[in-house]
Amino acid sequence: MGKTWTLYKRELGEFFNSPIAYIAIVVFLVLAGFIASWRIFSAEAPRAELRPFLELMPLIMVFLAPALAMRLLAEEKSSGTMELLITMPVTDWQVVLGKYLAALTVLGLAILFTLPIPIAMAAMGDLDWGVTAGGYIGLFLMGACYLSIGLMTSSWAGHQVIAFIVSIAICLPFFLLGHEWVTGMLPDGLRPWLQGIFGLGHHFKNISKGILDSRDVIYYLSIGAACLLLATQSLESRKWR
Amino acid sequence: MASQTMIEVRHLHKSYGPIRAVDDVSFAINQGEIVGFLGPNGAGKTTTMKMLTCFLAPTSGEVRVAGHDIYQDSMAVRRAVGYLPEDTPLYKSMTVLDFLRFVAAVREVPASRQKERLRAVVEVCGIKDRLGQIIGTLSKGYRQRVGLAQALVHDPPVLILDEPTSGLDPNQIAEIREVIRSLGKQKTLILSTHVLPEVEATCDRVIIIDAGKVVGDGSIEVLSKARLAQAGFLLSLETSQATERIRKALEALPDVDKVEPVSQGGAHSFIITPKKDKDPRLEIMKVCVAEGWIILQLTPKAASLEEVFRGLTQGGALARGAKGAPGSSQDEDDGDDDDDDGDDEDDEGSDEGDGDEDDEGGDDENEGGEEDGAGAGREPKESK
Repeated sequence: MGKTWTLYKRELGEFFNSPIAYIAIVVFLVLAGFIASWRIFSAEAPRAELRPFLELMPLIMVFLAPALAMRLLAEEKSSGTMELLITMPVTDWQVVLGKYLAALTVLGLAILFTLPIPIAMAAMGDLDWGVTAGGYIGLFLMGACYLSIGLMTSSWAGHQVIAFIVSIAICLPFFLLGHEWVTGMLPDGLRPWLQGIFGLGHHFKNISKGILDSRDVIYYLSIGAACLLLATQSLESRKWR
Repeated sequence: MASQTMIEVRHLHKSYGPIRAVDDVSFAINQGEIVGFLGPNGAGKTTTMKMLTCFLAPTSGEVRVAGHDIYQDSMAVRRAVGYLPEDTPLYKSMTVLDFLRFVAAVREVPASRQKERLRAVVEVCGIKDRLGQIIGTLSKGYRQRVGLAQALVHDPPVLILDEPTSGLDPNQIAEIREVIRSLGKQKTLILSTHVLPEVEATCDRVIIIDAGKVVGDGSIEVLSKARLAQAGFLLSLETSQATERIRKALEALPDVDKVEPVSQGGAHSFIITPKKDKDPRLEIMKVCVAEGWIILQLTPKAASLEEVFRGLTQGGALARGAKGAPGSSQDEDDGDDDDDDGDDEDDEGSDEGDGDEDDEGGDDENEGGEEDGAGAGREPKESK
């Protein structure tokens, strides 16, 4: 665990030594603020409610998480430092976990920075704190899940831009296929099946209603763990004969 | 302890698809040896090193480093090895000190010893005044030193350095060599290079690799001997006669094996290769006096290591895969050598005395040895 911690600290430092974390967080916050406030100043029915914010954040997460995850392994590969890192006495799993946790920390910070939004809403109107807490937990779980997908593609790609695009290409269908925009067009029999498997957004919906169902949590955790394992495997593949 | 085998490689193979990057390489390296891995680019040096350091897995074969198998006991191997990969990859956004601290922690230097170890490597590598600097802003020479420092920080018994002096200026090369030699007293050290003087300057032993195979393995003396044996003389003359005629006259001498015209500052210059164990200098003098040529210089020219090397790796007397006798190709003046620079030299020979032509010739000849920044082993014909 000691080494994972060392790797974690270095990786976190790397995030804040480069502009990526700042840019990603700022863009995220601007979008979040915009989504949250557009109803407030609406001419006909000004309302302070968090619902549109919680509905659209998952979509923004589809872009934020890959942006944070893209450089994790791809950059080490393209700059050659992977060779340095991996010939030190660390396991591939420690490398993956340290990096993942660092990115997760940044993601968590980004989400925390949006807290002024519900606080302001609460000042302006009625805010259901249960739904808000559920929404935040769901957002974090979902982001963690996307992040692991991003890390996995970063372990495949030789360049971070490729990692970014590929992970969006994976995350976006995961989000859309479970979303009612798509499931609404499908026959009833297919819907629960699609939502259950691909429905990263669908599972979010449950949680954001304030219902913390173990099925949803387990869904996120298992996808996250599977992607991290695949990333580790991909690192190990250099040793396959 | 002195002769304990630290690195043992047996029948190592590595294929990248259809390409056999490393093909049945075997060698053993004892404790305290400084071994130079020598070979042209793409010979398999780096691939071999990557396997020794557990970065790549061999397709087949067995590697033991410090008594541990790279497969079964990869962690133990990695603990025992300090590795400087090719091109010195470093985390560019970290400061030198942060980076070294990070490496020390990951390389399992106990916290109580960390200060002492950091102080030691900073001292050895001469980076004391750069500790607070961001690595990305360091010069190439300092980066190389930081790379060396990170490989040393855990005081490993085995050091593997991939082209430690590439891209450095002569002073930096001299400094890095100094560091390497001082380390070699206690450690087992492998360094790779395609620059021959590098090996001569730092190593006790040389393993020559070409096209994935070991083509030579022996002490540095063997290499130096091969080098001396290929010695020739550089002769510069002032005369109005045609180059070709002079060449013929010189070649007719009994002790002369071969005469090659070279271009040098407008004068007629020749590289004269004597027959084995003969000294043709007296004959040359006599013929020059007889013909009325003015001798501008007649200097012994040690064969450049590049030439020896080409002799060893390009189908010289030494058969591929044969080990232990790189010296056996001494008397062989290999054909490939001629092909490499023969063409432009012929051109120069035909329109001699042209200054532009000279420049071009000089550049061409430099190509083989331009990495040799320190200037050791410079051939006279390169000095323009």
